[in-house]
Amino acid sequence: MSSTIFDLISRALARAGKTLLHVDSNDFYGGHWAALSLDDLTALAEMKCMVDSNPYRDVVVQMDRSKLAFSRAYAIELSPHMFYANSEMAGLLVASKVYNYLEFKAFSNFYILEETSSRLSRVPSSKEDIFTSPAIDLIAKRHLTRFMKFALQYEDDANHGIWKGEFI
Amino acid sequence: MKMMPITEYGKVSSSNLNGMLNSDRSDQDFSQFLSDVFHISDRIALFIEFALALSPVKNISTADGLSRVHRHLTSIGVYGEFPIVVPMYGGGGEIAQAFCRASAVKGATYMLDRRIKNVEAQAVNFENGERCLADHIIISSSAIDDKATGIAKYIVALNHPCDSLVSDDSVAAFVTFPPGSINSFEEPIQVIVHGSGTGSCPQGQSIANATHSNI
Repeated sequence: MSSTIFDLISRALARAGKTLLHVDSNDFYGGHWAALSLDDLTALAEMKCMVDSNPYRDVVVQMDRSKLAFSRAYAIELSPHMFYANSEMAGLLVASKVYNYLEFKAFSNFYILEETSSRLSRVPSSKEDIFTSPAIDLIAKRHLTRFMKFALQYEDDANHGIWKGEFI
Repeated sequence: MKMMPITEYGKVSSSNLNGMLNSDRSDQDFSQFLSDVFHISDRIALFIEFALALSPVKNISTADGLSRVHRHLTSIGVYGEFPIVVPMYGGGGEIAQAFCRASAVKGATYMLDRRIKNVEAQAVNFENGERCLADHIIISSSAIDDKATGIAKYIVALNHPCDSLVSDDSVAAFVTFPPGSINSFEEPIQVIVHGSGTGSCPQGQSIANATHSNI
């Protein structure tokens, strides 16, 4: 359903030397993956775009333009993605060299709301983070580190017994 | 073949099995697995399940949980000390556009704001009267699966940089509200916060994009 698949196909076919016409009923790229400006968002709310295969219901847009910058100062993702470095998409962007058209920044902050707190807690997301985190006691750190070591290689034969119950 | 009990990662011990090795835990509740096998506390299990594994539902399976944590851990170090890369100026939308640009560079023609009236075996008729002949036609299905699950989304522009969450080293942040952490929400609420460093909003502001499985 996502038109991004068609963008990928399009690029593959074009590169293979096919003569190609790519048509989109929206006046912006990306379909359901699109990042919309304020004007595009308003159009979406008024059902003036995505008329083919519109998966959205009960869209409400409330905007106080006096508090906002101009329309194109915003790129609001309809389906925000988190692209892992070790993912097929990242690999594809590199292999196809399409990454040259993009500028990337890092994303490494994870937070959780704990029941006993009214503030967000930062979640340690790497072995170094766990080591230095003041929020976790020493014993818990040992258990967590042990789990992370396992998770890094959970698909190895030697580890199957731990979660899949196979004989080694 | 003699079955060797594994009680700690990488170590083999001859102590009591507890029948653990015989059970296939891949469908077991992930938090139960963490507690049984790795003695992870409830509190840390929440960290793992909802922040590292990014679980969008209340009880993710062990198989799914492990594959997600694995994805997270093996991503750190690939391009730097961070697991996730953010394309500037609108994430997935920019990626879609980048593929289109790459395609156009190779000779493809793009037409936006064009609706199809009907499709023949080797021709397409547009609503504006234009007609295009083609050897091959690839078309998306516009039917939406009735069995698809709905989700609720809430996107808000904040008049605040959220600089306690985002920084130069992490221009976006993920925030999870596990089941039960907020009022009556039984499923987790997941929020991605984009700071102005992502290029998707002006300086001093940020965008919070929240999702909740509406089962």
